[in-house]
Amino acid sequence: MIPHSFDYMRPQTLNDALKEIENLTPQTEVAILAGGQSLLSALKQRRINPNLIVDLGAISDLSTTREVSDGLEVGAMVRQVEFVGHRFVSAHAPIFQDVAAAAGDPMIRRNGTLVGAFCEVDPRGDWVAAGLVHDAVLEISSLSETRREPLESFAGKPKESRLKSNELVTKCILNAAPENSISAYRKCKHNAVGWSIAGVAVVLELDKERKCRAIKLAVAGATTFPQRLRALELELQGVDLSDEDNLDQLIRPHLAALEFFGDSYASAGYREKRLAIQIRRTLAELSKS
Amino acid sequence: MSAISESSAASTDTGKETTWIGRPLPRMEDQRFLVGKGRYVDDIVLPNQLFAAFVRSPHGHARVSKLDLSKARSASGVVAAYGGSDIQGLKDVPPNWVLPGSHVKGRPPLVRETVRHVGEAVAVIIAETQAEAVDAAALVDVTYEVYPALIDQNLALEEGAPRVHADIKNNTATIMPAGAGGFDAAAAEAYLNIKLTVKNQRLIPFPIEPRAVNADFDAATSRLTFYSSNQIPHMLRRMLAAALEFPEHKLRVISPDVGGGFGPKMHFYPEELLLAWLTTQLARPVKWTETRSENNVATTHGRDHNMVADIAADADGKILALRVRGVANIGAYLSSMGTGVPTINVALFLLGVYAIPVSEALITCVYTNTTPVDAYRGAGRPEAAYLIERAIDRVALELGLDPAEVRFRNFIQPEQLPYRQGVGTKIDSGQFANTLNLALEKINYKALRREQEAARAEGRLFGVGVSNYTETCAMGFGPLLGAIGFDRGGYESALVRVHPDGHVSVFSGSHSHGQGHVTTFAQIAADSLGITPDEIEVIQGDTDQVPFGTGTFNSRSVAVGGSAIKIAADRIAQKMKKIAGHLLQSSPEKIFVSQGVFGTEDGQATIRARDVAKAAWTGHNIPYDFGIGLEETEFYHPVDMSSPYGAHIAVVEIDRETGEVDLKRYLAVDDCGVIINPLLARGQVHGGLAQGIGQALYETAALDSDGRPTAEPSIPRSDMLPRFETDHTISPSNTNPLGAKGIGEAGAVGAPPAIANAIIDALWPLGVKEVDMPFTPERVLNAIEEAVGRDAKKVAAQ
Repeated sequence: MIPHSFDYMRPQTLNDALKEIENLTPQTEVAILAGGQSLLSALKQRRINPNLIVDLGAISDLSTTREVSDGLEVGAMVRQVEFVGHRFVSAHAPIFQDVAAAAGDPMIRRNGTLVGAFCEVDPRGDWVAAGLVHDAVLEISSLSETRREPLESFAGKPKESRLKSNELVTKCILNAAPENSISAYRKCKHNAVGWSIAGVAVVLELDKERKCRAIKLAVAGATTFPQRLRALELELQGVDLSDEDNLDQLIRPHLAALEFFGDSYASAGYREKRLAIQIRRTLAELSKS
Repeated sequence: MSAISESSAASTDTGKETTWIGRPLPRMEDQRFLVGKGRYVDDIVLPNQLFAAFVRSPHGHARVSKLDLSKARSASGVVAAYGGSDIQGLKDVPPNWVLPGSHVKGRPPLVRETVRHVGEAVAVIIAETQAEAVDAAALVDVTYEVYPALIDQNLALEEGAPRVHADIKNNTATIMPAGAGGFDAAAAEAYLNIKLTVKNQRLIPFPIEPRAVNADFDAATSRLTFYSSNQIPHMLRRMLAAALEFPEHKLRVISPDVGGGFGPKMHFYPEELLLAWLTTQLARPVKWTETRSENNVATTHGRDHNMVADIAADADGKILALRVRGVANIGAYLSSMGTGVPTINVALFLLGVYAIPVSEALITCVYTNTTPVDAYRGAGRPEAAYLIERAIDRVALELGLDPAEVRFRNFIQPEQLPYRQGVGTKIDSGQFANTLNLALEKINYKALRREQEAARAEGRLFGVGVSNYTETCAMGFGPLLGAIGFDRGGYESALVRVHPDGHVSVFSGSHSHGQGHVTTFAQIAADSLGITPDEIEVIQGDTDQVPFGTGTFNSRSVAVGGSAIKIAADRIAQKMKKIAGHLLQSSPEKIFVSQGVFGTEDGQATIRARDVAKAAWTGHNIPYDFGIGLEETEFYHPVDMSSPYGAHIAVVEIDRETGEVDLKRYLAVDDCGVIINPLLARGQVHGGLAQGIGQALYETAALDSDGRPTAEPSIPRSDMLPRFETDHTISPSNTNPLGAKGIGEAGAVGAPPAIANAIIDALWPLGVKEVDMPFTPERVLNAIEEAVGRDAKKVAAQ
């Protein structure tokens, strides 16, 4: 449980941090330390062996949250527990309270950051699915440019092409959920580690007849990466979500095209079945709320 | 006269209000743990400390074709590095319980050429710091020629299977028959004949503190001080001395605070032998603390026993005959109790608490390319209880009878006790029907069955499961242990010393690895001596302070270790009364003691215990022939064991669509004889239940085709367990002076069959007759879908 030795930098400003990673030699493998809840385990088990660790903990600019028009900017060092306590979350993004109740434990949420979870895109994680239904956008900086990328496209890319070696994710921007929408994050836990084996995040607007007027729906845990199910979202428009038999018929074909993964506890096939049930039950639950 | 009445006589002697036995005293040892001041092996850093790190095989079966330690040897801080060829002359670590006639292969300290399980150590690096040792271990260059690994014990027995050890035929370490035979004849007459297949899956024991060793040879005195996180320090001293050919009187084993054992910490391990040898070579202390990943593959596993039972019953559900064939996976080598646990500890208990006239068993222990399997909480008895309790339920369900009723029809009756079972064990005492009745009443069994009927009408899967486990605890009689090849004594030691100021030291050969001995043992001594537990210090786990002992396993600490304390303390109490009688000019028979004061019957004259003690240690004012001191040693050696038992009931509801099992209620009514501390007894029940429920619902090593366990083994967390409902009946044992039995393993033995029975009870209407543990959602769903599919086919065929 002892990592390989590495160089450690704790820059005081974002600019200094970006300088540290700007002109790395090809031999330098760098890891960025924010909340450390994924990184430290990987280091201790020597699953990764970087020779440089850049700790963002001293950069105060990254620890701020700021309300912007119809949204919230969350800095890269904002801890999950701080983020969830923000009034924007209770007013405009309550799904993250569901996530916080289901993800990790109090110690993990005290240290872990929201942006860090977005950067990891662990297929078993909970935060990304909620970020996807809030149309999260990542702000990514290098010394020479700052760009924005939707979390959805970021999560869909292979790990190695998400960020260039000289780039850092400095914040994310979350959209507010529509007025009068309802939402839920529901997951089925892996019995060993508490990760999700089938998770679903939903932001839903119902019409007067309590049918689905608009919906954003993302899945996690079962599929090889967390993703929005946009074709299913379209098909659910106008549908009576309390009709579970009909829902079941609608949902299953959309899952057939996805790629699932499994382990000795829950196979890919089981996760697919379980995810279909999870989506159906979550929608039915919301339709009755 | 039975020992029990002596016990109650002692209680009246000290007056009811001062009886400490039976009180739910909070644990006195917890303060230091709660404030982070516990002292575990890893907390001990000695001057000149060196650290060891191991290089372990990632393969289950391979030949080491190249081992190059040169880079590691020249790395920063490295003092030495060894491979298998560098430790010539160091013996294999031998097992400690070898069933007569077994083919023994001990665990090599390092791989000599052939790797036989994942995690077997190939090299060891010794360095100035732990980090340097670990870094250098990563520089060791090993080339493996990898061969297919033999994982499944039934496959390893097949004709033509490769051999794990070239000179052992059929990979068979031992075969043990039990019972008098006669099954076929009985079955031919029976109304009902059933074949039942059950598996106790392989488990990873998972103590929170992994193993840790610090070996310290002092060249000046030729003494070796050996720290190990261990349940049985005295056995370790003997085994280590023999394997190392080191004089035992110069070897001191210290096992300080131990963060959970569950069985695996009583075995003698390759790392222990190697570190002891290394410190004698390097003349500096060498420490190693196992990582969690190492613990998963290098520390022994539990269970892994496949069984097939033939059951013959009459139309009323009375079981007439039982035949069991067991195939146990013992792993690549024989760990200390490797051949004993799956044979003696299973076969002897296969008939549970039932009077079954005809029984036979045959158990085969098989070598495979897997981590050695050894004792784990329950150690064989969970396997036996699982088989017989599943069998009872199967008979009931096949005949359409109530499973609880079928139990009443099969119980050993009170007038039959003590009862010798056909396959071997002797049940000393018990009131099986009463205990089950209490459990049925407490859970309102009739209402549950009505609820089940209603649930079924709605298509819901609701099940109730009962188990009436038994086990035999408080090992045990020396000659008997000798006869079955168990190289340990059955006694326990106690030394009780009253100091001149009246405080008391209790030294016990038993050793806590979390149970709370300090509290229960102090309660026992306090009653004998007429003082309060906080005036008593209990000392364990150091072979220089406690010269001889046997240790903690087999739920034996209270019944054997506690009895030793009681006997020694009673003798001192007698002597103190004698002295007090002399000092108060009264006869000893007329002296009573209460709350640290000795007095005459009429209450006219009193003397404090400390003044009696001072007189004993100074000899100033007592007759010469009283002798000096207040110190007594007892090696308590029980001639018989005791049989705790219980009635457990589980209530489940299964989600038909997902296969998820909701354990709605769990009730445990245990009979562990006289209870010293009800709070701690309940704690033991809770811990055992967590592990038993863990085996039933969650846990498995889930070995892959190389014998590598899952990287993230499941262990039950508090949010995965129901609220435990517990109660006790008390049938005092007549095999020891406390009347105690044993409670540490009860939950782990009782829970798996109760839950399995509840699940099968829920699924029975769908046609599911067998499912294997752990009952994960996917496994349960597969069973449901298979049964429903089978049904659909039948309908289609018609």
